[in-house]
Amino acid sequence: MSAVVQASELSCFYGLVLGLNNVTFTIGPGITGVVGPNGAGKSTLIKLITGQIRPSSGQLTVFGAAPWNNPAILGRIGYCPEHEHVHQDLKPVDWLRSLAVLSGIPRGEAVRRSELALDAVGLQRQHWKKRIGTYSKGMRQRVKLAQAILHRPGLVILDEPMNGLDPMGRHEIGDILRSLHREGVHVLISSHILDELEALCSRFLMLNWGRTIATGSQTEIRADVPRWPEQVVIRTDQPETVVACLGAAGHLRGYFLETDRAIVWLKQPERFYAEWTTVLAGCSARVFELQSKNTSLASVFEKINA
Amino acid sequence: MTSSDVPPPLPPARAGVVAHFTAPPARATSLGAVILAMLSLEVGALLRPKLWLKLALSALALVVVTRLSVGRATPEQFERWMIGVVALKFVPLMCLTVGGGILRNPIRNFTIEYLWTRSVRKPHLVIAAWVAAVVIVTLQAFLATGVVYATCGFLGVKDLWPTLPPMLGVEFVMILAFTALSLAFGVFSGKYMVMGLFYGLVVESGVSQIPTNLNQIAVTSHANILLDYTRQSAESPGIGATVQAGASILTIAALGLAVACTVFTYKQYSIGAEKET
Repeated sequence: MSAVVQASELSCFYGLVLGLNNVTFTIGPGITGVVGPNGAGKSTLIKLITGQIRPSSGQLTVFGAAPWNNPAILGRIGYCPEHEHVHQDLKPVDWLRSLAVLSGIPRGEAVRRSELALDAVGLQRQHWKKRIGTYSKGMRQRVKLAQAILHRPGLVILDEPMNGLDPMGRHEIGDILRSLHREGVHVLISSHILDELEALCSRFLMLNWGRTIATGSQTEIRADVPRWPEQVVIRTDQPETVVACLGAAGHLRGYFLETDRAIVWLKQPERFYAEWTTVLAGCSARVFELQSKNTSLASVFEKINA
Repeated sequence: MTSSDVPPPLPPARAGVVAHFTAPPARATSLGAVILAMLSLEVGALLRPKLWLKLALSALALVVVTRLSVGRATPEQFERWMIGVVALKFVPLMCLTVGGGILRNPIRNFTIEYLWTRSVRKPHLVIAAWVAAVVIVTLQAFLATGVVYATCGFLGVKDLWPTLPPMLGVEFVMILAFTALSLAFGVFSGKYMVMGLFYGLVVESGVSQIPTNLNQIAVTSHANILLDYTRQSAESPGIGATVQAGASILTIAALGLAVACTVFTYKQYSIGAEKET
């Protein structure tokens, strides 16, 4: 696997404030998610990769070279920041045209490229005549994404790209990112919406307190946590009866009842998964769905973090 | 590889997002292109209706101030007022506001991230920002000077208009230097207004009054020589001193620009905050 981003004993401090602390990792081709709570070091990492700050110690390379003050490398990166600040007074095509020229695209081509990029991110043409300052959050996200792809970068970095988007918008952005991946563009996404990342990314980099706590595919990361999920949601017409059955069979460590479901914590998950069909078949309740809750990326992250 | 390594099934392929784009050459964008882009970003923002409303109100205020200050002045009195207030105070303040903020404001409001994460050399970005600031301040200063002259003409100051072209010329040279210095203050600190006013008090209003060679570091002392030359009176300096004064102002501009480029290239900015190293 050829590395797109490679960090070796990388640290970054803002005076006495810790940003990243001696992290070593490799980000390969494809769509990679950067996961971590606030203050984990995600933004510091993104600023380092986009050449906005330089490491305090250690090494960071993007496409084999350090990005700090390196226009040749920065030209291969497209960056979509988290914040919503844009040039409010400009219309999207004017803004994108200027940024395209800044990226070395000839002026004549820049206008055409800007329009294609806006079409690609699904910003409807009827909005092109308005100033960006009048746009909704979702429309701004699209313009921000358009400016990140118009110079055909090899790596697109997105900081919280799903912020402010409705479910349909999230789906469309996810679709665009998958298309970028298909077209040979590597994607690095930082997001708090772990469900979205889970659906999108094949690999993850988990950070907390400025350190790497896990890297790799979901399977590799899950290898670090117990195989059998301890929390199960059972959708049923009689939650009390189901809980009573499970309690009688000695499976329950705890439970929580809702009108149409029981959320249960298991004593011995492995034994439960071997016996659950027999136990629930012996109940008078009708069971519609059984779902393990702590297999999601969020719960894996919580588990590792704990 | 297990099944969970594989991302979920992909939806039908889109028409292509960047497939029909070609990447520009992997090298830094030329200075000319950076200047062009910066001009269209900054000067494009000048087209806001709100800004023109502000300018109209400022022009109105200027007319009132001019009316109160000039009264029924002779051309000499008017010229002295014009130099003292408009050229040596008003124009440097405009340079400080625009030049200091042209990179500092994007650093404060995060929009700099769209600029410096591209294939741009940071010194080129500084030079382009300086050019944009010079264009903006020149437009504003010439407009302000035009309003003052028009008002004074209306008030009856005689033999006024022949002094306008040299006045604009000297203002332009001053704008080159003061904008570069302001840009250096702006990239150095978010408190560029304080730094600029302190510089104005100490160097331009203080040191420039000292009758030694020390006053060579003040832009206004050189600007005064240029303005004296344009009067063509018996006390006007010679062409040699005038050329030297012009060259000194341009040297100060180049030094300011060099300092701004160096600071901007090597300083690490923590965007949106003043947590800088």
